Order: sequence, then C-alpha cells, then structure tokens
Amino acid sequence: MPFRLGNRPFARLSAIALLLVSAIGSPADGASREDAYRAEILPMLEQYCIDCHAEVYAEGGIILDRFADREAAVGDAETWLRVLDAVEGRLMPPADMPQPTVEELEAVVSWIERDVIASRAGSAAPPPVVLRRLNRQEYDNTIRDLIGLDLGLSASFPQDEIGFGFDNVGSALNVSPIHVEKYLDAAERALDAAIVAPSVEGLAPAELIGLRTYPLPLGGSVEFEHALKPGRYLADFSLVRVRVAESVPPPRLVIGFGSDRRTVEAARVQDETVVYRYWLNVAEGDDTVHVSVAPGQSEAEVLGTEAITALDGGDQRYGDDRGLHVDSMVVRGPAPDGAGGLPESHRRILFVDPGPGDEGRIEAARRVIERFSTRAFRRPADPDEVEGILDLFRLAHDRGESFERSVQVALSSVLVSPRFLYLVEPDEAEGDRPLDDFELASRLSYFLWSSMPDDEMSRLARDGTLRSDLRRQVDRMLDDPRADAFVSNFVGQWLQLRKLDGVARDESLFPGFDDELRDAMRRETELFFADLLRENRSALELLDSDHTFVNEELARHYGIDGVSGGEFRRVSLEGRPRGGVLTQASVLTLTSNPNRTSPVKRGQWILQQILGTPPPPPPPDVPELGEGNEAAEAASLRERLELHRSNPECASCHSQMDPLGFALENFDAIGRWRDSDGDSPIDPSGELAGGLAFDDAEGLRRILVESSAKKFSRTLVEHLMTYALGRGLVPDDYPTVEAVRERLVEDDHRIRSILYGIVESDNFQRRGIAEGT
Amino acid sequence: MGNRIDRRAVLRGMGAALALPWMESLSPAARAADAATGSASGPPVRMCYWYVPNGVHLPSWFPDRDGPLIDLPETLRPLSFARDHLNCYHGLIHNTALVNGDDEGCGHGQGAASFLTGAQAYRSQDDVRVGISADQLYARHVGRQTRLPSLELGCESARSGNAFGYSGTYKTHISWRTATSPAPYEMNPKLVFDRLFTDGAADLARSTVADRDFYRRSILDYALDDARRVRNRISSADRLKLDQYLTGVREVERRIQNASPPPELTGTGFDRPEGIPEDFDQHLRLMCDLMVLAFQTDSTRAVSFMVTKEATDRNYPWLGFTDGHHELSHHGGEEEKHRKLREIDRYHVSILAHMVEKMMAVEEADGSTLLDNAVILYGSGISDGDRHDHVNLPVVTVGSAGGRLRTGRHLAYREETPMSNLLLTMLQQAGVPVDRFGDSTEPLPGLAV
Repeated sequence: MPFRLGNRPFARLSAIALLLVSAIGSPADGASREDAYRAEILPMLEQYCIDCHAEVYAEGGIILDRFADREAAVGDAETWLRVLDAVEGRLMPPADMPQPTVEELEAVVSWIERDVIASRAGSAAPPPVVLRRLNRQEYDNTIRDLIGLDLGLSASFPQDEIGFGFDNVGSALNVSPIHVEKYLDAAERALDAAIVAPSVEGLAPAELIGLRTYPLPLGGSVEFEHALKPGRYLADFSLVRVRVAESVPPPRLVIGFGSDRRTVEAARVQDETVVYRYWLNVAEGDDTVHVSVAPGQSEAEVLGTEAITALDGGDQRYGDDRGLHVDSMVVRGPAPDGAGGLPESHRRILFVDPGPGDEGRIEAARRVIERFSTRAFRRPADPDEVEGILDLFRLAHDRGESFERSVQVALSSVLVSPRFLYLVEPDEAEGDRPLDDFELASRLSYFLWSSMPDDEMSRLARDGTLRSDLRRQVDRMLDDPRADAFVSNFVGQWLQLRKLDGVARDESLFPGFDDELRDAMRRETELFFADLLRENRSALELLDSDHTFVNEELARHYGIDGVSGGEFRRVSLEGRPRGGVLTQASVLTLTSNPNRTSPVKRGQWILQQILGTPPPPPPPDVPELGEGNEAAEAASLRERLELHRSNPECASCHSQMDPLGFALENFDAIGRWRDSDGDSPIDPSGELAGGLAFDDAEGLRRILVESSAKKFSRTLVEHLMTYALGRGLVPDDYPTVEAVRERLVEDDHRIRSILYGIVESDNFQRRGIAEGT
Repeated sequence: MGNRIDRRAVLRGMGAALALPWMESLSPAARAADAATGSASGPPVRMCYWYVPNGVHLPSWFPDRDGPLIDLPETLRPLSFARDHLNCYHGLIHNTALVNGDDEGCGHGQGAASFLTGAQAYRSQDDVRVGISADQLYARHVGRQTRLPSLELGCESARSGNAFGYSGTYKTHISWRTATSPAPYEMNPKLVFDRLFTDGAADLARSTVADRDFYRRSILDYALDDARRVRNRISSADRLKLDQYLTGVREVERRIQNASPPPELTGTGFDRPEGIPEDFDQHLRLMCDLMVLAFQTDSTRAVSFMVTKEATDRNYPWLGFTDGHHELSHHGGEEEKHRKLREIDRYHVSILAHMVEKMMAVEEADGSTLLDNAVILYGSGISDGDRHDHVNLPVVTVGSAGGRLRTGRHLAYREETPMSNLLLTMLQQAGVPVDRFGDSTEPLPGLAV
C-alpha cells in the first residue's frame, strides 16, 4: 500500500482570495466577445498560469490549457469562479512568480464577470431545492404558530446537520429512526398541551346496574334508568357472552345515557367478558341507559356459527342461555371542567362544538382536521387527505375515546406526516416550473420567520395574489417580531454567533466571562443587525459603524460610562476604537482560544465570513507555530507568526490572514481593549495584498469599506441567498448573485434591497431543474 | 428470576439475576438460530466503540515491546487492573482517511468518518457519503433480538460546521446506518435513560403506554401511506431524502410492535438522570453507567460513544490548564503541550477504565462477567494531531468477546495494516458472517482464539 502522506501537492490555487483591488481600469477591449478569450485572456493565461495549470500538472485541480475558444471556456463556470476568487484575492499567481499588471488582472476579472457569469443569465435554470425537512428552530416555531404554544419540543431532537454554513439546507439534513421516534413523541406532547381531554382521574366509580343482569337480544335493546347529573362520564361496560367462542370478534354496540348515543368497539376480551370503555355525555333531562347491538351485524357475526359448551367456572347466573348479557356498567364522572376554562390553543383548534351523537362528532372532527391540516401542511388539504386523517379519529372514537382525545390522535398523525415535517415541492412534470403561491408563501415564511406562513399570507396564496404583493409582504414580515428568528438564525450562522455557546474561557484569566456577558455579546450583534434591517441602512455599516447597542454589563466591558440596567440601548461610538461587527465582543470572543487571542483564527474568520474566501487547510507536515529554538526565543506572538510565514508554503495564506488578525490584537480574547499582551506592546499595524497599509483596527475597517465593498457585498448576498433557498449555490446562481449585488450598490447598499432582490428572483420563485434532466 | 437491577450490581458489580432476552434464546430452537449467528451458547457479545478526537500523544501511547502486556505505557496506565483483558495494536492505518488525491480537507472529518467504516468520506458540504459502520453492521445482525438495535452516544453538542469542503457531519458521527445515513448520537443522559428504561413515558402509567402504542402503530401506518403518496409526486433526489423517513417510520413501527416492556429499574437506586450534568466528568461517568446498564439488561448489544466531537476545542480546567484540546493537539513539538496532551489522553482513558471496572463487576448468568462477553474498541481516527495523519492509529481493545479474542497483548503488525482488518476480526468473532469490511484485506492474524 503506498504511503500517501506528504506527497500531497499543496493546494495553492484554492478558493482563497481577498479583494483589495480597487475597481480601476475598464474592460479594455474593443474586440468582440467571441474574440475576447482568444485575443486577450488566453495569452495572459499562457504567460502567467499555464506553467502550473496545464493539463499535465493541474495544480489544485485547475486546468487552464484545455479551452480552445470562448465557448469552450465559458462552459466551465466552476473553474472560472475559482480563478476569479484567486485573482481577485491577489493570491495567484504566487508571489515568487512573474506578476501581471493591475490592468491585466482587472481584465481577467471583468472578462469572467461579463462573459462567464453574466452571459449565463437565463441560459439554464438552477437546480431545485432538495426536499427540506424542518430544522429544530423551524419545528419549534411552526408548532408555536400552529397551536399557539411555545413548547421548545425540539430540545430533545438530534442536532441539525449543516450544509454550506446553514442548518436549513435540504440536501444536508437527514432523518434517522431516532428523528421519527422524537417526532412521534413531540406530536403527542404538542397535542396533549394544546387540547384538554376530559379526565376522571381520582373520581370514585359508581355501578349503574348493581347485581342485576339483562339479556341483550340481537334486534332489541336494553334500557334502564340512571340518575346521573349532566356532564361527561367515562363508562366501563361489561358484556358477557355465554356459549360464544372467545375467538368470535366482539360486537359493536350502541350505547347512550340519553339522546347522545355512540357506536363503540370493545376495548378488550377476557374469557366470557367483553369490556367496552367509552366517554358519554349526559345532557339535562337524560335519564335512560340504552344498550343495543349496532345494526348491520348478523347473528353469525355476533355469536359465531358454533355454540360452545359453557365455560367451567363461568358466571353461573346465565346458565346455558347462549347469547349476550348486559353485566355491569361502572361510570366515573362528571369530569370536572378545567379551572379557568379551556386554553386558547384548545379553542382555536376545536373551533366547533360537536353536535350530538356519532355523526355530530365526526362532522365536527372533519372540520377540525380540515382546518388544522391545511395550516400544518401549509396548503389546502384535499378531501381525500382529510378522510385519511379522519379514519384515525374514527379509530379512537370507536374505541370509546372522548371527542378531544380522538382529535388528539388524529392530529398527531398530521404532525408526523412528511407534509408537515418537510417543505414538499412536487415535481410531477418534467422541467422547470414556477412555484405555486402556497409553495412561495412557505419559502418566504421559512426565510424570514423560520416558521409557517400566517393567515394573511395564506389568504393571499389562496387568492393567487401573493406574487403581486410580494414587496409589501417582505416589508410586513420584516417588521413583524417573528423576523427575530431570521436575525438570530441567519446572523447566528453567518457570523457564527452560535459558536459563543460552546466558548469556554480560562476563569483565572477572564473572571468576568459568564453566561450573562456571553448573552450580552450575542444580543449586541443581533440587535445591531436587526436595527440595520429595520431601518434599512447600508450593509456596509456591518464593516464600520458609528454606533452599537449595549446594556450595562456590556458597556462596562467596553468601558462606556452612563449605561445602567439590563436593557440594551443604542450608544454612539464616536471617538472609540470600535465600530461594525469586527470589533464587537461576540466576534472577537468566538475567534479566540480559551486562554488567548488567535490572530490566525480572526484572520481566517474575516476571510471566510466577510470576504467569502475561506483559506485552505494547512498542508500536512508543515512545522507548526513554535517549533524550534528560534521560535521559542522570539518574544511576541507576532514575531513568532512572522517566522512561521517565512515558510513559502505557509506564506500565501498567512500573509492574508495574519495582518487581518493582528489588526484586532488590541482586543483581548473576550473583546476587551488592551494596549499590551503581557509585556509585549500591541502593534496592530499591517499591510494587505496590493500594498494597502493600515495603522490599527480603525484603519483596517476603513480599508475594508473602501476597497472590499464589492467582495463583502457579494459574500453577504451569497450567504443570504443560500439561507433563503436552503441549498448551496451553483454557477447558474451567479448571474442572480451579481444582479442582486448590483442592485444593492444602486440602492446605496441598503440592506433590504438584497432581500427584495432574492425574493423576486427566479431562483427563489421557480422550482428549478435537476442536473441531467 | 426478577426483573430488577440492584443499583449496587450496577455500581459495584455484585451481579444480578436478570431475565434477559438472550436467556430466552437458549431454547433449543433459538439455540439453533443462534448457532447460525456464531454465538451458539452463553451470553451474547456486546460491542462498544469509543472515539476520542484530535489524536493522542503517540510516544506515551504505544507499549515498548510486542507480546504480553506487562508495564503499560503512561497513557494507558489507568487500565492496569484490566491488563489481561487489554490489547494494544501497532501499525494500523485508515487509508480511507487520507485525502486520496483531494487537495483539500483537514483530516478531522475524514478520520472520524473512516474510523468505524473503513470507507472514505465523500468530499461534499451536504451530500454525505461514507459507508456502513461496524457497530451498525453488528446491529443489523443482532439488533432485532434486543429492545434497541443500537445506541449512539456522545458527550458534546454535535453542532459542527463544514470544513474545507467537507461536511461537519463527518466530525460528529462515527455511526453510519448506511453509507448516506448518519446515526446521530444522544448526549442527554435523561433521554438515553428514557429510551432504555421508560419507553419515553416516564410520566405515564403502563396502561396509558399500551394505549399510546396502539395509536402510535396506526399513526405510523398513516404516515407510511402518506409518505408513499408524497413519494409518487417528487423527484428522485427528493425521494432519497424521503426514503430516510420511510426507513425511520418502519423501524419505529417494528420497535413498537415487538416491544417488550422495558426492564424495571424502580426502587433500585439508579435514578432517572435529570439532564446533562454541568460537570463534564460527571457527564462522562453517567454515560458510562448507562452503557453498562444497557448491556447488563441486554437492551442493546451495539453501542458507539463519541467522547467528544472531532476537532473539538473543549478544555479540561480540572486538569490544571485551560488550553483547548484541538489547539493543544497542534503541539508543534512543544514539550509543555505534549505534557498537557498526555494528561487529557490519560484522563479519557481513565473514563474508559471506569466503565471497564464496572463491566468486570457485573456477573452474567453463566458466571462470566459482562466484560468477558464484550469488546470495547477505543481510539482515535487521527494519530498525531499535529500532523493530522492516520498512520499507526492509536487503538486498543478491552474484552475478549466471550473468549473469542486473545487478550493481554501488544500486537504489532507491519506498518500500514488496514485498521479495517481489526474491525473485520471483531465482527467475525462476534458472529457476523462477513469476510470483508471497509477496505479490509484479511482478518488480523493472531487475534482470534
């Protein structure tokens, strides 16, 4: 077996890139597009790239000598998107190779943007979203909006899988048997909490028959008086079958305490005795027990075809009298009404009172199921579906369960149906299609609320007017408190705030770091983003801003005076070193180690989350930071890292990451300001690719706003679009990404324009086409 | 024979007389059936697979010489009392964890993914594919004889992001039901306890549970029908997802149908855990107790346990330092970091020792101990955390699978012997009729009795 380690070529051409090139130069060609690749791009590739990226070397899996002409070249968008990242980030060509001019680089960039990306627009539909199950947040929110109770049932579910940075990507989310087990359990718990079923627990039983027995003739009935008060009762009724084989299925009976009669199935059979257990209503004036064999059952069905001899030890009261005998009826009740009446959730679901008798109950159940399943499935339930669910109601009801309990059973099935648990977008016909209004409503609501559509959206969908009202709906939804879910789920993952939960800090070094501070950190970033969204301000404020939100705890952490209490409020950052998410304690903390800062992690975080160019992993067998005497003698972390960067294999990435991270060294591992790290004074200055120098974090922020707005905007659009669609992006999505980004620029970077752009795109509104179809 | 478990039996191992599923299987008919599975008589084989992330400090892991274990290396010393049951292995590799031509990938996800599968993680952020894992294969084989086919446990939140083009799922799952269906682990001891011993109905009366299960069967029937209707209308890619759901529904349905009541633990002193202990050490020990209970009651025979997730940066302040585990694993040759890594490694092994001790103290009906009838495989899918490599993996086993494995030795194989050969040998000795597993080439020579 060959030993492969160590032979692996270092992936220098990776997705790493950092756009610090200002948008200078113009696509300098008057040539026709057809010629542009051969006339302009190919010669540059030959000059600068093909040495390593010819088919025979294929460094990093990138081959650039295989496209004969423009048509062949633009067909491989994936390659060019990687080239774009590498070139924009000034990562390629490697530093020790001949470098193209800025104009040449820009020509490649604009050729890719124009000929590869923009020309794809409309040429092929992007792929469909893979059947997406609700994730934990979505499950909880949906249950909350469906039944009106916030139960947090998903706490016992397995963690959701993450794809492309988000936990709502259909292709990444799996279901295992344990999920089904939990869904079943959660469904029961939800309905148990939402609907109050009558209970007679603790009430004393009363026998209505005493020691008497009545023969029950097949065509007739047994009736006797009772003196029960009006209310709901649970009755245990025993029928004795004399000289009837135990294997004969017990008959269905009609039983009632007055006008309300019901047909019930036996609960169990024990020797001669058949037990029926059922709930019954006693109305004002009811005073007669009625028992009869339900019609439609023949004598042979009820008694069997063969008489058997009486059981030894059977009840002697019946002698040899083959047939059915009413033996005992024990009731408990009336069931007390719950203190304070029925909860809102109960009244919302059970919005009709059943009429008397089985028919009344079934009709009421049908209406309850129809409404509930339409909401749960997020589209009108068709009559067949309703009948299927009603069968479960009947099953429970026939066993004598109360109306409420039977509804619970039926609706449990709705909550374990795949149409509740997944966002189903059928593909019955070949080819792309527009989503119908119900599907669109669900996409919207799971995007902006992480929950089901509300009544207004459902109404618009039903009326077929959702599309024409889309913009207003987006605004309405963003102004709704449910949009908090969008902020916490999107920002929590894009900026990785969710990592804060797992962050541990050395208590001796950071005694002030507790859960309260941790929560305050997260809150700050969420509120900052929410405010941006509410006020529809420039997305670039995420990079640099003159204000933030703090409570007393965080203000103290930041050294801001005059803030007291747990309430968060907006404060000016005028004259302070902070501004934008890079200098918020949340981000500074989640990118640090338990006992110290990590400039590399911070740099990597900025590359990945802000500039959209995740660095590749370190190559194997590279000595890590700190090895050797030289490193040990180097005093500061910075000096040690600089040594590390002298290794050319490390330099290409670390020369990008490290300056970004060092710019933030004035903030310690929990985001507090500091002037020195131990005895070493902090030097936050640095230089980024392209010769952009800065003095400190403030300078870095300015540079990012000035020179990386495009890269940052594209990254934000990519993340939002991934989250909105619930799938990873493919080259065919990039015309839309670019269109949305341009729209953002035209709208002075106002953040809602991204959301409008995405929601109005075909990518969001159409089903798409699977690859290969 | 009662159905009770004495807490002391669990905690101090005085043995307990339990009516267990495997005893019923000692009827002549079942005996014949058992013979086919290779466990002709006696207690069943329990398989337990432990995973620790980030590799270990290798110099303190491997014994100095081959042959009988006499002095254990520093890291394994907490297992000294069980030396005769221990096997150390040298020279095992997971070739499938190597990046194999991919130019990206950091090795953490691949290491965990291949650990029990001997298969290579497919490079994708969403479309996870690797292979069935050894515990799940064993569960397929014997799982129907117990209340739960298998149990997957872990002690750290399984949340994990993608890294370098590989799904984070690889870092948090060592158990794979199929190549594309990861089996997530449970980290809450209360929920583990409920699955094992309360049927998820700690607060319900037994009669209510019977009623509940009656309706559950019908609800699942409905769900199955409904899923089939949906299935007819969706694309083939969507069907793959829905089929996971269908499999899940069938599995749960089968479980309800065959459910025998869970073993009674009331009044034994082993209380239902309240949740996840704040103290991580307590959490680990409680999980061990639950694993022992699960085996002892024959509630399941296949367990996997991810101590923490791959690439975790968890810290261990009670060891006297607060550096993160992953951070330390990039030791760069620094002696101080080596020392700390050794402490963490040894701590993890001491938790294993805690479980081993309990299993040695549980007496089975034929007089053997629970440990005698088990094999615990313990190790990492990464050898040296600094290099992220998968050569000469740190792996040990404890237990002889009912006397079927020779133990008490350090087995040095030629370099780059597939670790899948060990997985294969264990499966075979536990009675699974397979002649290949993952990228195995042959059973490990000299291991089986």
